[in-house]
Amino acid sequence: MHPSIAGLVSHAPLRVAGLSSLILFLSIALFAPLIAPYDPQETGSPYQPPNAEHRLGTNDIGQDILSELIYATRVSLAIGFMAGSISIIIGATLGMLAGYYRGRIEELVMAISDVVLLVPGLPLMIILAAYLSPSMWNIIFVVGLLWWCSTTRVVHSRVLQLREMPFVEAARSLGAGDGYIMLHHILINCKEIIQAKFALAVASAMLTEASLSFLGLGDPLNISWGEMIHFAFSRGGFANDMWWWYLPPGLMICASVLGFVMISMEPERSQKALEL
Amino acid sequence: MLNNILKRLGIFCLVLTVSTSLVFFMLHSLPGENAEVMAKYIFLGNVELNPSNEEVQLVKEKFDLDRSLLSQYYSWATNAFHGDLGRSYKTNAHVLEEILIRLPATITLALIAVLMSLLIGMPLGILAAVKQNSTTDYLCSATAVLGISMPNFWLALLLIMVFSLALKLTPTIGYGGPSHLILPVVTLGTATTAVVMRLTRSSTLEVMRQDYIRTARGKGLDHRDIMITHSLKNALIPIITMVGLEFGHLLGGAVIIETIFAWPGIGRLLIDSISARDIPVIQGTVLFITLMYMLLNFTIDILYPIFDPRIGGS
Repeated sequence: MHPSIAGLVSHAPLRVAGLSSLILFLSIALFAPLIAPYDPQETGSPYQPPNAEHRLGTNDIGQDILSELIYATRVSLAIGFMAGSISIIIGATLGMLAGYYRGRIEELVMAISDVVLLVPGLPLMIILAAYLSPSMWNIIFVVGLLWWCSTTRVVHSRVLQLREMPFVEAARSLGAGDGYIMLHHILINCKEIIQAKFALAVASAMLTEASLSFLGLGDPLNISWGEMIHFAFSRGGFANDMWWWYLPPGLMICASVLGFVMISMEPERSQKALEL
Repeated sequence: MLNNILKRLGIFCLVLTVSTSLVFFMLHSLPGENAEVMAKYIFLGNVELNPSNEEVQLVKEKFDLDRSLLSQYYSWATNAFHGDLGRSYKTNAHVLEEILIRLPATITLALIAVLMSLLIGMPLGILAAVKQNSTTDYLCSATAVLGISMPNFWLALLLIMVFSLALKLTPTIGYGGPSHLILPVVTLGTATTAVVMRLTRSSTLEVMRQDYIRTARGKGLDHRDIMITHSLKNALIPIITMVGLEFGHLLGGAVIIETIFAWPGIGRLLIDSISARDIPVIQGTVLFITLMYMLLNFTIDILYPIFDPRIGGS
């Protein structure tokens, strides 16, 4: 093994494991048409148990479950990434503005995040998703718009520390503008936190999406893993103990969320290591 | 202190207004559609049939759906303030009564789940911290991370499959004796247990590095005494804060868990009323979920000085 790779593995084993699982899932999503044995829309004879032709059997309308599972990777990851990005962009921007400018802006941002943090998220998302038409984009916006508070708080408290650091003062006395300092000094030093928060945001977005889809609020045209479990539950797959239908999507959710959580865990450890 | 309570009360009212008005305007932003779905339920008793225009118009007039949104919200809020949450469009029952009947089921579920997470999560977290970087520590942490990553509805399905269908140890679904509580509580409490465990671990580690722990050890105090009287007491503060916030996740999770286990709580009431577009019930449930969550956090905020006297002084 290349020495630097070996170093990375021994230094941050969890992050490497998380990143590898992420790469695996991304390639499944990217190369879905090449890997999937069938077109997931194609129908055949329904309720088949696993056999040589259909490795994971077929569902209630005779679609190949393995192919459906592979294509669902695209939907679940896309929703997770986009919802996570929206929440991180809102959260990091507000956190930086509040921490850097302080004063009125800080009070306003913190008050808003106090309120949003205490608003019961999931029930509200369920109502929103039920009342908006079931589409992937609505779920992305609903999850993204209600999930930024914790990022704001973490980034805000980090920026409060950073803005008093000597290098920020030095940059300011050299005549650097606020925008320049925020981009080149503050943002760079919040990178680790934002990365970790992003991974966590994607993980929670994927879990939330799965819950909403499980309740039947998902996009019927873009089947995700959560929706596959919804169909397995509502169309007899669960009652007839067809484990090949309801088990694999749950495992995929677990494995991918686990990957993101592991990516987010490492900085916490190295932060601790720095302190010691 | 008084200032702090007043500030908290202000936020309290603000959050209540924001979440109820958000839901209100959202629910009423599609008036035609609401009236249509309600007409289906009221006149036809069947969602498959389409109501006539007269029937939709009748529903609009009966439930005041033609008035401006602001005046509708105003009258809802003033009535709610006087304890009148209106009547269900579907069953004509008083919303407040409907909710109060179901509230104990949800509270039981959530409280026992919190209790479970504390009783299992805290000892495991302390164990992991004391044996830092050992196999026990890694095992505990790995289980915790797995618990956080698992969607709770899927865990519920697995538990039903294994414990009630294959092993026949617990009832499948429904509400009744203590045995009916086992699976819903385990499902609901797993993620919280994991969060409590990880937080207990990190805050115990944090406390164990403090000087006064070294002093206590230097005095020759018993290791167990140090853990209980010196570490745990100080490690508790972040855990209590977190449990308050985590309670919101629990109430959200309860919506899904109650649906799966046919648990007659307000979570299931919410889902049922959403599918029937029963707006007063949706409104009332959201109000109560927000109220419960905030009352708990409000209480914790006020109780802080008891756990940490330093906070009271400022």
